[in-house]
Amino acid sequence: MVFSSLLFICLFLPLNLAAYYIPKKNSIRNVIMLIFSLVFYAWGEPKYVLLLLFMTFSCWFFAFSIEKAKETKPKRAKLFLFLACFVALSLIGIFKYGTFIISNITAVANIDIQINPIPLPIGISFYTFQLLTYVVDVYRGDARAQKNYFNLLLYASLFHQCIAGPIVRYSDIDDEIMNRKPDMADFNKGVMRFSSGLAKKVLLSNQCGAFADTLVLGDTALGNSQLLSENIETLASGSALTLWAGMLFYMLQIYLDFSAYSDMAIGMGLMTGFHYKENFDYPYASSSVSEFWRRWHISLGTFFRDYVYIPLGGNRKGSGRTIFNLFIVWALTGLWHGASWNFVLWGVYFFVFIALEKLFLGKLLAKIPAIFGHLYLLTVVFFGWVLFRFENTEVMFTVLKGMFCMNANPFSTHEILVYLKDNFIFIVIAVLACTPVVKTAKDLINQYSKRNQTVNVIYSVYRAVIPAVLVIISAICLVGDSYNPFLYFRF
Amino acid sequence: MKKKSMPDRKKVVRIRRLAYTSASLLFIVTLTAMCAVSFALPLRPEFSESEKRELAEFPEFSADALLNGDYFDGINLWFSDTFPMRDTFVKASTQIKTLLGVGQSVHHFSENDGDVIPDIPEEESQSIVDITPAVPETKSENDLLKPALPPSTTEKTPSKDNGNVLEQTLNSVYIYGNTAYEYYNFVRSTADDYVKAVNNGADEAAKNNINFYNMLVPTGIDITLNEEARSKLNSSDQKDAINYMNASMNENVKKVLIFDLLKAHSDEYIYFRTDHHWTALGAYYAYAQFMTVKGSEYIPLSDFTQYSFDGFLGSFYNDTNKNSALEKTPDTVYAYMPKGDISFSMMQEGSSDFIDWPLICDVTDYNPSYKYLCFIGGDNPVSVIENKSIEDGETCVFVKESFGNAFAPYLACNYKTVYVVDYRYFDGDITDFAKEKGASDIIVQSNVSMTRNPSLVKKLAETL
Repeated sequence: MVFSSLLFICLFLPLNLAAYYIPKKNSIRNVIMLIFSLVFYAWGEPKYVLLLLFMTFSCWFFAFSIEKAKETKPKRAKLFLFLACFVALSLIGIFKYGTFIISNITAVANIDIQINPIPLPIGISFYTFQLLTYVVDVYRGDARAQKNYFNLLLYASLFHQCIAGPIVRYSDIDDEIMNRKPDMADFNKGVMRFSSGLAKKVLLSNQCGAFADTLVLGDTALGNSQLLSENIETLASGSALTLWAGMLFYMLQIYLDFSAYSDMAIGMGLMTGFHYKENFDYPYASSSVSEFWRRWHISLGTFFRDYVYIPLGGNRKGSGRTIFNLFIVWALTGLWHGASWNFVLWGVYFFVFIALEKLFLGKLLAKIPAIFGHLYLLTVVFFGWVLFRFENTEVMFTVLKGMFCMNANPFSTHEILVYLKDNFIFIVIAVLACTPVVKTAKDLINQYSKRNQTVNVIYSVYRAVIPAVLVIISAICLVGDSYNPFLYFRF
Repeated sequence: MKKKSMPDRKKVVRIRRLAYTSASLLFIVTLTAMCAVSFALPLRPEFSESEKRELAEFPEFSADALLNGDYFDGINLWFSDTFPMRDTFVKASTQIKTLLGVGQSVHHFSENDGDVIPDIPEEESQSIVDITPAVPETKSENDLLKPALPPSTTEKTPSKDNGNVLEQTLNSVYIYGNTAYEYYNFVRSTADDYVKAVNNGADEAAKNNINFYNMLVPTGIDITLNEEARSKLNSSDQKDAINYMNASMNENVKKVLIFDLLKAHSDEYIYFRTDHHWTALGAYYAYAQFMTVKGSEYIPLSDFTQYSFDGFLGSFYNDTNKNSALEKTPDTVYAYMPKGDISFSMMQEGSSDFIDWPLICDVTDYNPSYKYLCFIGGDNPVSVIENKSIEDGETCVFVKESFGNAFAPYLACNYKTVYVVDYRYFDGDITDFAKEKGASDIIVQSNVSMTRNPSLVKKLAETL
């Protein structure tokens, strides 16, 4: 199930909230959340729910053993840590990367065997990482082992974040699983957060996605290997402006989509007393690649920082080793996004810029006017999405070449000009939605309304009706709307 | 003074807190209401009038479907597809998108070039009929029969998934002002296949001493769209395409050239604005030209009885997610009933019985997107028009797709019996059919858009 489906907002969420608030006891509420979460997961992946149960069991068991052995037998604790990681990483290795690994081996060894691709279990990248933070935190003593398997299962499977993040650390919600007190102020915040996330997804992201698919092909076409030559022909004949515009829409879509999902997760968390950390902080407003990655998918960046980069030695072992550590982190970050070389290339691409920034570029950017930093960042990220979008390198190069009229394609056509002119207002709205402009404006009005009662009343009325209005408008747009994928489901 | 203008801080906080709480309450009320609507099973529609299709059904349970996820997917689809007041919401969502600044003029964006149209040695010329028809007086539709929808309409869902011949989704659509146009890209191999099919049909007909006519109908984009707008669009030249196909046809094919004739009347209402078809007036010019080629007299338009049905929002309107510019100016369907003792009956798909139906039926009460159904009961495998006022008249077989619906009634003026065959739904050989019915003429009419559709051309080839 996805948050932005009618079934979810008309049925699942109301029933979940009603069932949640009937009992008063936290432990019963946990049972209710667990049941809803398992139904939610099974709705998309009836079979793979077993994988989730098993991986959680393995981590629960090993973490428990780690804690018992930690004081007296540190070596044994380390072994359990290794085993826990081994099981979790093996499972993700098989189910997410199995097909990729085998196809690479057969390609290198020049053997021709047909393998049936294993369908990717939804959310495996997210819940595996969550469980890893749990085991490691227990080992490090940052968190207590959870005695009750079902409480750990609730953490891993909680439908708010199980299938598309944010990657919530166990230590962050340990207390809240056992003992949380949802209050009205949080609920109010959660309602606003969820509604605006839903509207962002349905009204903006889906539309950007539809435009991107129209201009630079959608997943269905790109994913069909039989259409390869046809796809290349279509993209090669597209005008340069078409490709630029298509990739711009994709760039908007991927941010709006993913951040909307986090908004909805955080919002629903607040409605039920969970406090998840922010996952996005207007990343496109950054002025360097390093800053971008501190503001984009924050929970993933900090995961790699705390569980890979720092254990590898971080920047404490000389600049050569720092660069190497960065390389590992970025190659893995790329690979996490998908079992395909283009994602690795995408990760390494960012490594190059981050390394350059560490070496000298960062200092240079700090000296020149900020606008250049923004332009540099947007350019790097824009071309990054081209690498990210097209798994097939031939298709990717066709698009890159076409952007510079190197496919004997025209710079622009009447059709694309009409298209852009026609959707100009929407483009402006979507671009603004990626910047802190709306938030700043709201803060200003908020400030001003404290000094002016009329403004305060108007703003208060607006604030009272807007969540319901956004939900209704989103629901209307979802009726019969066939275009509604969540991009980050693929990871 | 300053103190006065500063509102009481406590009051500000109180109002704000009230707003937040109201927001949550409204949110909960909204969710509850939506939940209640979802459970209102009797309100769930089973058929979408505007999309002309059966909506998804609740999936059947099976262990397999449960395990591979199909069952839940099916429920998702059923839930949103049959949401109460679906069509209203779909329409509202277009308006919401318009408010958000989403443009409405280009749909199914395409920059694809058509194939190069080969040059032909010499363009065939045909003098075009010179007519300025006196439009007859509009009759009230009261004297027309008012049957409910033809029973087969609900089955006309073009199925996309099984790759059969009925795939007829529109291609790229361009909206200029309040008029929509469908792009046309010439596909040489399919055009060649079309010519081959027609040549074969003509050869077969010639062996049996049956005249074989072919008429290629252009679409609105090359007729009514103004030159300046047209020149910017990447749509293949239909005149060249039609000339190429006509030039490739053999001498057994009697060609009816109507492009220049329609072009000469391009400022008249000969194509719909919200639908891809031509109007009955456009079809009338084609009829006049056909009769001239055949060597017969065409009946002046003033001899017909005119009916009109307003509020038509056709395929372009539905295919552009209910474009608001089109919605503001719906089309009017004019229909011309020949005089005389004329009867009409049709055999619907999946049936072998003929049922009587009005040749022009009163569609006043039909859904806005169904008004083109006023002609000959819509698309049926075989239908028969008989003009009992003609004694010892000829019989013809008219092979058509939906453009032919507006054209067929005119033939009743000159033939005693007209067999109308929609080749898309017809199983059998047309020459055999014509022989069996004692027909002297076979008339094949196709709009150019269909000559680039391989599955339709294949079906036509099987029929001819």
